[in-house]
Amino acid sequence: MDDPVTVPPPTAALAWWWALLLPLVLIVVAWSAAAVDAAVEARAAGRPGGLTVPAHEVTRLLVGQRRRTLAADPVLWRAGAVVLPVAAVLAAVVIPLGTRPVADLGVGVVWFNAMEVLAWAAVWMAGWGPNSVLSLVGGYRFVAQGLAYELPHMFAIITAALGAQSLRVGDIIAAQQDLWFVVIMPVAFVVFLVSAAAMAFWGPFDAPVAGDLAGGAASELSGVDRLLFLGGRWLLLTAAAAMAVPLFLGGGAGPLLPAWAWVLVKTLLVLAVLVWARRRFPTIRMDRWSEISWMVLVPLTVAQALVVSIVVLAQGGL
Amino acid sequence: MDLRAWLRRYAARRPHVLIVATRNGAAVRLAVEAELARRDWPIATTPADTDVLLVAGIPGPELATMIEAVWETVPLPRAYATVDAPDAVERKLRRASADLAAGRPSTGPAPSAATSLPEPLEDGQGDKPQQPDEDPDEQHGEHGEHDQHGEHDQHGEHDQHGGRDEMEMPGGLPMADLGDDRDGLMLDQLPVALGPVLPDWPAGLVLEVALQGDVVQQARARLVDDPLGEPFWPPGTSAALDHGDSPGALRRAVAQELDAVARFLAVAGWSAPAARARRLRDRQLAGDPLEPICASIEALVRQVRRSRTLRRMLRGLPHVPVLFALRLDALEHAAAALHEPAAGTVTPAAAPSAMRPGRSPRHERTRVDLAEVERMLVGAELAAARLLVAAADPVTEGGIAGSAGDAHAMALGGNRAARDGTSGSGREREGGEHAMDPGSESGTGHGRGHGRG
Repeated sequence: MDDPVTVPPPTAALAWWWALLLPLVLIVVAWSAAAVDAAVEARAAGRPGGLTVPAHEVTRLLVGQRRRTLAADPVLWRAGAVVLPVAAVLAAVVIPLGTRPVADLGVGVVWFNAMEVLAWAAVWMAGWGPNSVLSLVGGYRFVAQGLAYELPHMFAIITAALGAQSLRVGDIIAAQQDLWFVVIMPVAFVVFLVSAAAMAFWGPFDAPVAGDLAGGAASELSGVDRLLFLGGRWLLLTAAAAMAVPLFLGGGAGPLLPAWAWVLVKTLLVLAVLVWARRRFPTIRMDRWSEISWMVLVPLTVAQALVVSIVVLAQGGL
Repeated sequence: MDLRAWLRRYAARRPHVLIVATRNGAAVRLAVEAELARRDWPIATTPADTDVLLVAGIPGPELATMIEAVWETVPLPRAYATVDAPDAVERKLRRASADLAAGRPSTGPAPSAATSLPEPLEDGQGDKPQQPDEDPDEQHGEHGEHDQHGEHDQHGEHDQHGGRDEMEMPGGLPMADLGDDRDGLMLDQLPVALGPVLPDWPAGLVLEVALQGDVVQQARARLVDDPLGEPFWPPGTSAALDHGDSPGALRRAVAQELDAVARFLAVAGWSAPAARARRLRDRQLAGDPLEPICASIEALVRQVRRSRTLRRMLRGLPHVPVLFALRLDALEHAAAALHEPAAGTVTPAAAPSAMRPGRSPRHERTRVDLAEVERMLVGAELAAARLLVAAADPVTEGGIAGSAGDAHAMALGGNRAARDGTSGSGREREGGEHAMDPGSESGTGHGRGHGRG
């Protein structure tokens, strides 16, 4: 910690063609998580298999027909489905796949946050587009959800950046060489996980696409639109889980294995936690969660940020 | 080899099935759900995500019309199946999957007299968008569809309260009405019909609600069609328990409670225990050994009761916590009665309710009547309304007299009277319900529910 600003190596980013590989990497990770999730579910039901479920689902959506509804807003509707996977991939460009990210942005943390906020627009547009009540209610549920989770989420991310005194993701990893941030800022880590699930409207925060609305924002989507929307959700979840690794879990640091393998292992572990939480809890509605989020999580994360900044000051960082 | 055909065949191995249950179609619905669980075929929640549209039971004319409208919104490739007996389930599902794999165009439901308008023909091209909202029955199609044909898609149900002056808008959609909201503001009021094709929803129930935002301002419940065939569930849980002569009836009573709890948990978004409750229900009906099932039921009830998240989500919702607690109690007691048959069978004739004094009165009021549901719904948000209906679990089966045409005129009083006629315990049950929430002013919500149009 003598030299707070770790000088990034001249070529801190991966070669350009990694930008083409990145979506594939994300898809493969999300696919395996979905397969394991289905297998766990099958096991709980006392059935064999389950590993082929993602393949079946993707196939049936690929051959499925796209729908149209009366007086729909097709541009917003289709755009909503497309934006979700695109936002997930764009958010992932700043995550180091090993030691280096696809794009080494100086404001990497802000970029990640800006991209994931696109999900707000995506879900709302998908909910608004088909001109259908249940879909619209689902879209607005996500806007309310965004209001609840986003502030604690931003404070959690900012705390990590504060600890490293840099918005560059590589610097944040470098600052964890001695001690992972999950140890210094456990509250921020937990809040990040919770809000990552909320951002991907995943597991107990799936009210925007819940069954009581017959699928909510996704209720009118079929065929490839549905594939993009639901697949994009998986990608978003994967990207968020992968971002927890450089922010709190020391990036690719670890014994024996190469850095990329550690990133993968840690990402899968975080994903496993998120997938487990979905089974563990009933849907958390935002009319209840907002209160917890604003009255408990926001003060907690602010206090966490305060503690971290005092530590940084005490170490003579500034 | 044609890649598209290959993909289609692969996808057909695990189709999503949308179940449209008719009233008195519970036996078939349960058989279908059990078979789907065995095959690991998901139950579709919306027509948009449907490969096989399956009608469980024999639909009456009104439901048949709705099914046609739903069918129009199911994307290709799709298959249609009607199952009217539980033993036909396996065969029909296999055939539906085979049809999907072969890409055979499905005929769909036979057009009924009410839907004589020409429909756009599907040409079998998967990439050609269809027009789900071509309205098959236009005489009331122009009412209440603004922002709402999702509803319309899903349920094929129109608001039939004619007589309002409505401005025609492009697309044939009217503007939403204005109306006072609960805070005294004038807000858009949107008539929406919930059901009968909605996941985890009582069979044949249609809730015509006026929504402001997602708050229910008015609610009117009705049942579609006259039920055909015999009711599956025992007429009242208490009846089955008290006259506990047949273990089959007792098992059914337990299965009914498990079914209700599973639905509630599914609506509450807790799929894992909901699936567990369904599995227990299926095992119960299949006649598996009692000992492990009852132990599992106890464990399930304990897990659900212990969940702090669920408690926090339900706390403060109108009526829901009370109703759901009753539902869990009913399940527990039904399981106990089955597990310890001595209590029920030794002296079946000797005033059974006196034998379990703490139990029977509670059972009398576990199933809430539609008029009550209607009244409770006013002021609830959509999420709370769904939970409320699931927790109330109103009885929609039964043998109700009257023609299908006046399903409207046959309002809830009519249903109630008819049910009292058929089941002996109806009267007592109602008394219990009224006692259950003394704080609510009975009648006003009901009156408002009928006061629009």
